[in-house]
Amino acid sequence: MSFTGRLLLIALICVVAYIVVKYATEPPSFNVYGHYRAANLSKQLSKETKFIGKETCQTCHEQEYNDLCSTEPSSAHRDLQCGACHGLGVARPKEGVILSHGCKIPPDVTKQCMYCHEMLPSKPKDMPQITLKGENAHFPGMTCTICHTNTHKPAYYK
Amino acid sequence: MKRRDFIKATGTVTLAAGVYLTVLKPSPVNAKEEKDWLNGYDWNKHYWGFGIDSTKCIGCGSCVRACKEENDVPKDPYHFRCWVERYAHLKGEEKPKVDSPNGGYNSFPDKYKKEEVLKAFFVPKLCNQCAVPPCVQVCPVGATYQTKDGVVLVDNDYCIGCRYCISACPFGARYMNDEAGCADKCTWCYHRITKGLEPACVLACPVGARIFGDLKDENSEINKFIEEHKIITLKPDLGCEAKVAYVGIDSEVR
Repeated sequence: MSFTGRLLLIALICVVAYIVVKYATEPPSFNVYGHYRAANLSKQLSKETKFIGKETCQTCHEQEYNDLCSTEPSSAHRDLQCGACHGLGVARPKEGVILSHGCKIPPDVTKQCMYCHEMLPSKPKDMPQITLKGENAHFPGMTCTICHTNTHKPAYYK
Repeated sequence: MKRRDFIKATGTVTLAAGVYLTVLKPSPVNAKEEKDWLNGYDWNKHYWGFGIDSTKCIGCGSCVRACKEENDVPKDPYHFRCWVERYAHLKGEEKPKVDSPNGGYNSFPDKYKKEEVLKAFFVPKLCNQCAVPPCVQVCPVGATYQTKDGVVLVDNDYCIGCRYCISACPFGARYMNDEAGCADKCTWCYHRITKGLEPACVLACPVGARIFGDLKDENSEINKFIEEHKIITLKPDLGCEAKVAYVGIDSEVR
């Protein structure tokens, strides 16, 4: 075989090898939209959603929802979602009925309140803030709900 | 080279190229296929945008807690899709102090009690879904990609865990999910937004510091937010075109 012939043979082998390897290793949906597997999009889209909005909670917890969203007197917590304090509820309705979810009443109410209302210099000035330690402590050692009885519709204790 | 050889060579190359193009050419996307992969969602109609109003953030960590639950992020203090940083300028110091204890998961302790704070603010961070994403560029296997509606996703099953993308990200938005054995990152809750829901962090925020919406929809919240405020994005000098629009942050924020 001539020199050119051998060169061409090598080139041909390379091309064939490339085709075989590409066929054997490339996933079927690769390069449908781009350099990735399009099949993964389907998986991403079908992932389960967990966090539910308060409109879903309303179906069972009517009173709490009304307190939270009340306008007269205006509830300072009206923009909150239930999950902000009660944890993320994974409600999976079966035939329209939610049988169980992961939400709970915060075990330490004061700690839960202090997530948002702890006095910090980095917070916006119009945010109601208190501190439980030091000179200006706001009733240290007491639970918030002793005075602020309705946490869904909080008002300043007078 | 003789003429005969030349013709032979040309013929072989043409044949090989023909075989390659006819057999291996990526099949054109037809409507049926697109619908199959996207479960009926039309990604050409949307282009998602995110805004953060730092002046409203109270650092409560609701977003961090909600994100970790929604997206099964490991609950240790090292892995975050969404986290909050605190910047504090103290009197007598040139540079701001930055901290993020457990990513803000349990809110922030008041650790600057004894110092005089000149200026302080919270900066919620998440993936910027860059328009020119460096993480996608470096992935050697094509396990991370950009969707047409502007979100960068990770193909968990196809990722080989080489961590190139983690070191390539200028914002530290990626992490190694050791439980799943792959790189992971914030997807703006792609599984939620494609169903018409808001991302978990946006829903959880008690003060409305996070704004999410469709940039292709003229009346969306995010378009209003961008029109009404003077916004900046992080690290514009890198040219990766980060998309999260920030309001009320200093130039120290990177």
